[in-house]
Order: sequence, then C-alpha cells, then structure tokens
Amino acid sequence: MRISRRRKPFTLNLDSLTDIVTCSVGILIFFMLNGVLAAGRLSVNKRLPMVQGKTSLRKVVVLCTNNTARPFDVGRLIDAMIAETPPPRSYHGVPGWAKQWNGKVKADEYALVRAYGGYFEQSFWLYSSRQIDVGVYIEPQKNQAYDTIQNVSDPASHFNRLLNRINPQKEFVSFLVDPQSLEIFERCTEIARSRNINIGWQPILPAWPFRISFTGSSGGGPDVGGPQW
Amino acid sequence: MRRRYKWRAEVDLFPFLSVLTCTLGILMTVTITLISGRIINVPEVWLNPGQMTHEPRLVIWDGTNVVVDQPEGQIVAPWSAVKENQENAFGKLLAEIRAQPDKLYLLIAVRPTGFTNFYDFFKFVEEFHINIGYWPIAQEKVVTLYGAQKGM
Repeated sequence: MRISRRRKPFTLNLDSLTDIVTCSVGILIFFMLNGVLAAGRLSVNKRLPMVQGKTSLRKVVVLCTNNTARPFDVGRLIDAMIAETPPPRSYHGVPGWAKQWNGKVKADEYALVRAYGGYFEQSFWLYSSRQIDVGVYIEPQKNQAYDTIQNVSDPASHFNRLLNRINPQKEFVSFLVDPQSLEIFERCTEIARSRNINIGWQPILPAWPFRISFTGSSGGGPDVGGPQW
Repeated sequence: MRRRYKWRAEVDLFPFLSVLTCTLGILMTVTITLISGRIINVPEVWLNPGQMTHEPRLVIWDGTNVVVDQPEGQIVAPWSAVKENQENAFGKLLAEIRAQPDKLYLLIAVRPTGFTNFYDFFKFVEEFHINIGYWPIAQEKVVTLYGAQKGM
C-alpha cells in the first residue's frame, strides 16, 4: 500500500513579529512619558527689559502690524515739513502760518504725512477768543513696502536697510507693535540687538490715519492712550 | 477505512492580539495628546543672564487681571480691585519694590488682550516711582521667573 505523504503547506508564524512590534511600541511610550516628565519646564536665558528713562537718542520708528514690519520714520518727514514752513516767531504770525501749514503733504516709500492747520477767531463786544489747531495725520503707505517673517532677516530687507542707516550712538529703534505681530517683533529685536542698536517698543491698536496735534490732544481709532511720538 | 481524528483543543490568539493592539493604539493616542498639550504650554522660566543691575519681579498683564509671579505660584489680582486698594498680592509687590528701589524693579509681561488698556495700567504703576520694564508675550505662553510651580 502506497503511503501518501502530504506536503506541509508553507506557514508563516507571526508571533515573534507581534512580540517585536509590541515591545517597540512599549519602548516608544516609555520614552514619550519620560519626555513629558522632563519637559516640565523650559529654561531660557532672557534679556529682561527695563525702561532707561529719558534719552537723548533720536527715535526711529518701525511699525509692526499684521505680522509685517516696515520703517515708519515719520519724524523725519515732519521735520522736513517744518523746515519748509518754519513756525512763526511772533504770535501775530500764527494765523498765516497755520494757513500755510494746512494741506502740506510729505511722503516716502513707507509713510504718508498730511498736515492740517486751522485758526479760528471769534469776537463779540468785549469778548474775543482765538483757537488754533495744528498737527499732522500719519498713515502707512498702501503698498507692499514691508517685510514679512520670511524675509525680514535678509540683508536686503527693508528693516536691515534701515538698520544700515542708523547710528547707534545717536539713534534707537522704537517698535510700534499690534497684537498680531509678536513673532516678527521678536525677530526684529534679535536682529537689532545683534547690531548693538538700542530698542524700545509700545503696544498699539492701529486705526489709520493717526492724528498728532501740536496744539492739543492726539488720537485715532480706539482710545488706548496712544503711543508716545 | 474511515479515519477518526482526535479532538484537540486549540486556542486562537488572534482576537486577543487585536484587543492588545487596540489598547496600545488608544494608549499612544492619549499619550500623544497629553504630550502635545504639554509641549505647547511648557512654562518658560526666564533666567537673568547676569546683565541686569536690578532683580526683576514679574507680573503678567492681560487687560483684566494682574497675575503676580511668586516662588510659591502665580496669584491673580483683578485690575478693578488693584485700582481701589493695595491690600492684595500686587499691592504688596509694589510696596516691596518701593522699599528697595536700587535692587528691585517691576517687569510687566503684556499679553495681546492687555494692549487695549496697557497705558492705563502703566500710568498707574508709574505713580509709584519705581523702575519698570515691559515686554509683550503671546496669549497662551506661560512664563515665570521661578521653577516648576503649582497649577502650571
């Protein structure tokens, strides 16, 4: 009688593979739990700021809004306007000066400054009053002349080109920062500090145009006290 | 000739392995969720790099509350209460700084929600004639000058 032998079919035993996978997963969980325990806190060396009080350094403003940064040196534009239309030396010249001042415009690639001036006089019998309101409206230019977080570190960025023009012995950079721009503000401060340039900052809630009055109160948009120009 | 096969008990482990795999998967998901939350909100301990002439005392301003950072934990003092009287953690901190103006200064971490009325708070603090510093921090960031604290 012929004995027939069955060939054993090929079988693959996966038990050892599952053991390996299970052990690997367990080790991974172990390392992750250790990482959580080790990450209880993160220590960083932080250059802690302190206000230095009044300074003789000239302020150069950088505007940080919507996580972008642009030079905003309106002080230079206002100085240029005043140089063209110098204030009067006497009280009687004020009305004429306010009329000349009104409507002047100065602009650069980043900012627009428009002057306004008004003189009002009322008199009734022995009573007379005179009022003058002179100032400027400032706002950023509606163009693409700003840096984003991706390109602010480039040597050719608007911010770095501004820093190239700054004399650290005579000027410092003051950032106006809105709540959405903390990331680019931190990056810009690192860049400025690496070049030994003093910095300052003020929080803003921008609403343009912003009015700066030379004769009264300033403001624009929500009354947040306003930055110190 | 009819063959008879002995009945042998066999245990099929595959359902058990499925249960084990599902359990491990759930455990991994829970662990990853916990780690993600912990990594995002890891408290940041600010260390003085040794350049400061004054020792900081940290408060966090968010527009509504003044959070006083202390070694034993962070204490919340509502702004409305702070304006009315000094019998709170922030008032005591101001008194401590006023007593040692050459050694201590007030460091204010300003959250984005605190931008709106920061100048009101700043003018309030200025009246105490102490040294002040201020810096913006992200809304969700947890900062302290001390190590691991309660509630963090």
